[in-house]
Amino acid sequence: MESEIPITMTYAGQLAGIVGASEETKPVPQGTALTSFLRDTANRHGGRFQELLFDENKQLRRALVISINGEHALDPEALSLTRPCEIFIMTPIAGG
Amino acid sequence: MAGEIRLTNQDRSFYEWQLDVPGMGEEGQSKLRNTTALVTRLGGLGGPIAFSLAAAGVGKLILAHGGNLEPSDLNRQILMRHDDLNTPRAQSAAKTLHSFNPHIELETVESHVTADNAHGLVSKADIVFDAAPRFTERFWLNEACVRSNTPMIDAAMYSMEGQVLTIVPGVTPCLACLYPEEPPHWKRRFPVIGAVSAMIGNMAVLEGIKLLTGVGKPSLGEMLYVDTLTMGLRKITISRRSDCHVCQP
Ligand SMILES: [Zn+2]
Repeated sequence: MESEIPITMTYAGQLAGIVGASEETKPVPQGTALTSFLRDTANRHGGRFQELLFDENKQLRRALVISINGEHALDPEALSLTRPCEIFIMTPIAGG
Repeated sequence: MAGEIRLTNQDRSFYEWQLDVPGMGEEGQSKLRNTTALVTRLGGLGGPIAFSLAAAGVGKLILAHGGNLEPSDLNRQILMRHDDLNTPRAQSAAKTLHSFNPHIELETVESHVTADNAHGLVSKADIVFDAAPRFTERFWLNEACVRSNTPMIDAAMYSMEGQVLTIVPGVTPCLACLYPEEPPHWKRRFPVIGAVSAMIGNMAVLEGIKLLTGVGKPSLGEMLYVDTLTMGLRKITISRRSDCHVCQP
């Protein structure tokens, strides 16, 4: 049987505002691809949240800042969730 | 650094409390005195940046900001003055800075950073503070800094959050490593409380002062992210993109 691991999502400003919380934890099957997890998360929150994460071709936006346990995920497509972790995700900001 | 201006007794009298900061001393102060910093722009972030650089005794500030002062600037652009509404922002900011510290040199540029002027502006500076509200300006500056091997402190905010990225070409990732493309959702107008932008701006100044003087440890390769709703500070280790079109050969 596939074991599940808890994944904590931490959302920065705009995303936290949409979700109504800065953090949520979900169990996922061990080995789930990061993009698949993010796609499920985006589908669950829908609307603006989804738009901020994925482009019109359903590809993860390259300018998102995603970190796993404090490390920038440069190539999210290549990553899988193999152990419990914290995923921090923020949309780019440039206010001056 | 350009020039070898020595500290005068007058300098010592202005900065004596700062000279006491461990690691600063006359050597650190002298480095600041001999530094030229480019600050662009002079809004909610750039204004406090320029103000704190002037307070710290950075010898020369190049102040780049186009356009005239509008009423809606005044909740955060602390170098501007109500009396200067409808006049050039760069001039208003320079007047305030001059009355605050008349012993530093100021150069005003009544323009934002453009693709055409970025390299020229950066070439005159030892360090750049990027506080522009558009990604395109930030990318031009980033590229000019990487090409000329000039450190850049990139500061940005939105509503109640902010970030600071210290970029040292050849040592750290650059802005294009963090943002490999222009985010389509960014809008020129953003929610802002002046205290948030001032806080983020001052964090950027501290990064610059540490880099210039050797005091403490600048956050090289780390993005500082602040959420003022919770007063949370997060450090994210940023990696260089092997395919970065700016900082990779
Ligand atoms: Zn780069």
